[in-house]
Amino acid sequence: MNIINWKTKHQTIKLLGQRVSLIDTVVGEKIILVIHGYGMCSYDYHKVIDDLKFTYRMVIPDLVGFGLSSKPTNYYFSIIEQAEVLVNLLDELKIKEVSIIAQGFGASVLCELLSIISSGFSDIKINKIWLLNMSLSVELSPDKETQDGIVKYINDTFLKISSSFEMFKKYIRKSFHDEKSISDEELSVYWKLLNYDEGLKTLNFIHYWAVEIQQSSTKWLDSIKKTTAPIEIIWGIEASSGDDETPKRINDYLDIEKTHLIENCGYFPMLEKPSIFIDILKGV
Amino acid sequence: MTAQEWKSYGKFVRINNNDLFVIDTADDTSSKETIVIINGYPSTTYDYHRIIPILSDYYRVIIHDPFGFGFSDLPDTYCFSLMDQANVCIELWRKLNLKNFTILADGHGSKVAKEILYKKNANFISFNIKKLLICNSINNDIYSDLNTITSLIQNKKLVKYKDILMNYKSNHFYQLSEENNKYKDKEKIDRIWRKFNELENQKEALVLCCYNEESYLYWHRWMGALKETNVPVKIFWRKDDLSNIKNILLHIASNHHNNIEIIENKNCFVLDKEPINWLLMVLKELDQSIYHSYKYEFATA
Repeated sequence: MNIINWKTKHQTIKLLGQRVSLIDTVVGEKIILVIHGYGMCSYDYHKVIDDLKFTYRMVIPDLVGFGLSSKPTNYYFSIIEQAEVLVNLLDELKIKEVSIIAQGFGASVLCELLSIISSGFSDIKINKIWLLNMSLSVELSPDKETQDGIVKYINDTFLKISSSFEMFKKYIRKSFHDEKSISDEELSVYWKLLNYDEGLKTLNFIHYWAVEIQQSSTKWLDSIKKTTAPIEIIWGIEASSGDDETPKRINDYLDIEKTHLIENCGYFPMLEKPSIFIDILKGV
Repeated sequence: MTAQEWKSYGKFVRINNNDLFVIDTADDTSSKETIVIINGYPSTTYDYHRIIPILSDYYRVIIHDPFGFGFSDLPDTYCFSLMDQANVCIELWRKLNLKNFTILADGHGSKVAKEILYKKNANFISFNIKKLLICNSINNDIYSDLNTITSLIQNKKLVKYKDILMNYKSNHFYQLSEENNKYKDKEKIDRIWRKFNELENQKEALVLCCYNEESYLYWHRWMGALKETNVPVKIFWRKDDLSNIKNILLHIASNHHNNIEIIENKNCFVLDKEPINWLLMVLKELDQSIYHSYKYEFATA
């Protein structure tokens, strides 16, 4: 698949002054909204979407700054604004009830979304939540050193990733347990999506989001603790995932319904173990 | 007026399971227009005790102590952020059933007001905001005795201090700090540490840390809120308030809209020294007829 084929699967909506590009499989009563991780996009789900669309209506937006959505290059587009865009998106699609898959940075956006709901700015009902790799890793760090370590790891990785396609390939492959799970062709699509519309410039603001997470983590952890939606964890636990301790911390902090730890899998369970990922979501 | 008398003048409203101290000079049935005041750090409702009785002759005036200040509670999970303060304001106004009002924002309160304006632009709230007045009426002298703390806050590692303050486990961070040579004096370290461990000073440091961070995280969001709004906005500035002049210049540089008016506070009136003159200055921009009527009354009294 190339970027042009991928683009045809998308539709575009203008929300809060930004162009939001998304995949919506339209049919289905049970709806899943996917909030992808930092630097990634809806393309993460290209291997699983065709299977899942028979069980769920999948709504997978590219967050502002990533994929095919608009790329604010001269200012920081905050996590709060990401969540507001998603609330507006669900309103626009007339969705009242939804389940959510969130990964990494996306989990912070999810927490802010829950906080928007609990502050009475939206009446969307969240039915279920799946947290993927790196979710709440920064928020639930046991101490400042660990937190700084994670933030530094992410910032450094993105600095390297954005320098050239060769570096990009090298470091994305590193987040897989089996480096052959992702093809050169897929990596090239990722790279083009990251570069689309001068997208690399949005990475200039990468250090802001860590500040924002530190600023708001008390509020966010509080709002995810208060949500009544059942939460499940889906986590690739090999060293390549960058963090295999957080699932335990999430379990200590929240009431988790089920924890699915996937062996021989790195940061991207939906790319590396698509069939297991699909079975978990279908509840098999 | 003593603090206790002031307390009896107001009421407590329950917001997020904590008590918020609110002055509300009229109720739903009043025919007067409503004006809400969002005060800035470090002022409380009491700083307005000279002007509220006068203003309440013409308006229904609503003002509250932000959580953690004045008579309001300090909630466990509150992180002193301007974003949270904006949500508290909105929750309060919903509870008081307000529909239509003017906002008078002061100091840091202006950022809270801009956040509310943003939410209005994004259709998250349904209030009708008639006008927004932004001023900086607190004399900066009040900060001068906080010098030790502020010099620390200006340090680039402020996030680190915040974290330490939140846990206040040890004072090792001074020894680890890159600015270590600044704190060679062991006794000084202990003194600063003692100061930090007094609740009041911790709060100071926490509040200013959060405000500084938010000011640059959400700068574009708040500037954009002023750019996109249709609400008439009036911004007061005075030449002895350097920090605000920078903001004013940025406003002028980035806004070319008719609804934003920038007004000089020529005599540099501040709330604690010349409350009546300050009020007259504000009334003049708020409502000409009320301004003239009060000016006449004041002159004849």
